[in-house]
Amino acid sequence: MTIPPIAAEPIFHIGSFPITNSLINAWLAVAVFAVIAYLVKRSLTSGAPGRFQSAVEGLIEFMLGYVDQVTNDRAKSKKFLPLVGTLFLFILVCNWMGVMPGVGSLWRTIELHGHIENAPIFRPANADLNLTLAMALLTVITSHLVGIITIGFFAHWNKFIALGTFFKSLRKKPMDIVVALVEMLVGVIEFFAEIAKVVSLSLRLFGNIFAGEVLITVMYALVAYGVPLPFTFLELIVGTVQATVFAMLALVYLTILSEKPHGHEEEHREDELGEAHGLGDEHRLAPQGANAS
Amino acid sequence: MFNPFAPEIVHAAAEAAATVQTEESVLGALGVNWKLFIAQLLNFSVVLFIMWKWVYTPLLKIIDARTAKIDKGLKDAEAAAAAKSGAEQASEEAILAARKEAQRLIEEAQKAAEAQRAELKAKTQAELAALVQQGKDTLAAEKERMVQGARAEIAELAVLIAGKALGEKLTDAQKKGLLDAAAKRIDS
Repeated sequence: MTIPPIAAEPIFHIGSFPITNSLINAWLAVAVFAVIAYLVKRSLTSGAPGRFQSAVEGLIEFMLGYVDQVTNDRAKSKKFLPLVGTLFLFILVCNWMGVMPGVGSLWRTIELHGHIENAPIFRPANADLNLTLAMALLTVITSHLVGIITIGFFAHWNKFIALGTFFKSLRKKPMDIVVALVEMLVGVIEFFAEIAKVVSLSLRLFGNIFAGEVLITVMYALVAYGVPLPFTFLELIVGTVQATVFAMLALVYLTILSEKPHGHEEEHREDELGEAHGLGDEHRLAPQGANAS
Repeated sequence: MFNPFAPEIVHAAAEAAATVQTEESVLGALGVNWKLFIAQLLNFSVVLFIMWKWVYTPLLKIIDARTAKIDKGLKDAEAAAAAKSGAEQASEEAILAARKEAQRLIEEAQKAAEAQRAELKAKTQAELAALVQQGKDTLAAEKERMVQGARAEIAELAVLIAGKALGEKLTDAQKKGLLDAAAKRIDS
């Protein structure tokens, strides 16, 4: 038994480019999505939908309902759904492909760091920090782009470098200047919070899936029959939960940064409220109900 | 049982530790490699693009169009139902009016018939009465004539009988006096 290393193992190289086992799994997932998306595109009809289209529509409406609960705005939900929904589905498919037979159990003998060892040909795609980091970075950068587009360049960056608030406060009472200085300090914290978002998103998903792979490997090494089953089942649940968590957090980040600051004094208090609940206050829930009906 | 200190695990742990030490940075220790990072970023971007282009955009458009269509259909159905109930009410009213009109016509016709019948009856009765009267008059005249005739005859006979009884011939003046007296007696 070899416990999977933290880094995905390169199974072979194309030139100097390492083809790792996680990359192979990611490609398989991409292929799955390409095939399904092509089938969806081909079967689409604006008339009475067939069974396949109804199922896909049901899934999309279901996800849209969840997104609505966070954004409270149908138009915004429709804008965020492609990214958030794809994150959820892609992570879910990758995670579930990770518990398929053959993943982690088919071997190829390779040379790694001067050692000869057996490396699994397939390894869960999300058990590679490269993929989770790529998705996390893409999400956070997109959330900033969304913020710049929806509330304006200066209003967006004023959340992090509160110079605008500071200059405005110079024309007011001295107390406002103090508040503005505090806000500048908070802005620095917010800036580091953005880095923390990337780190937490990517490491959470990677850690869970990698740990699951290690757990399953150990269990199969101990007793090959029966005993690993509940753990495999657990991995299915973990895969779903992690996909949901990643997508939900991405959605919350997108929503928070696309919201206008409500009067600069209450800006941070409002943001914290939004972050704590992932939901707006009650009066913003009301129009959502009207939209949904 | 699972022994965390099994030689293989210890070996693997040592290997992992060695890997961490040989790599330069924390990211490198965690397996981050810019070539792989870009490859994986590309993978996810491809999935995102495909899903956006082939699934989300067309499906959302179709769903919206269908929602609008259903809304329109529901509104149309409502309007049609309202129109139908309006038409039903109108037709009911028309039927009711027609029924009333028919009732009125029937009543009028009945009244007219009644009046005509009454008129006819009255006319017939009058005619009958006239006929009866005429008959009565005729009868009375006849009777009068007969009575007159009878009276004259009876008087003549009486005079004749009286003459015979008396055995003598009466003069014309006596006859006349007797006849008048007889006539007066019959009349009284």
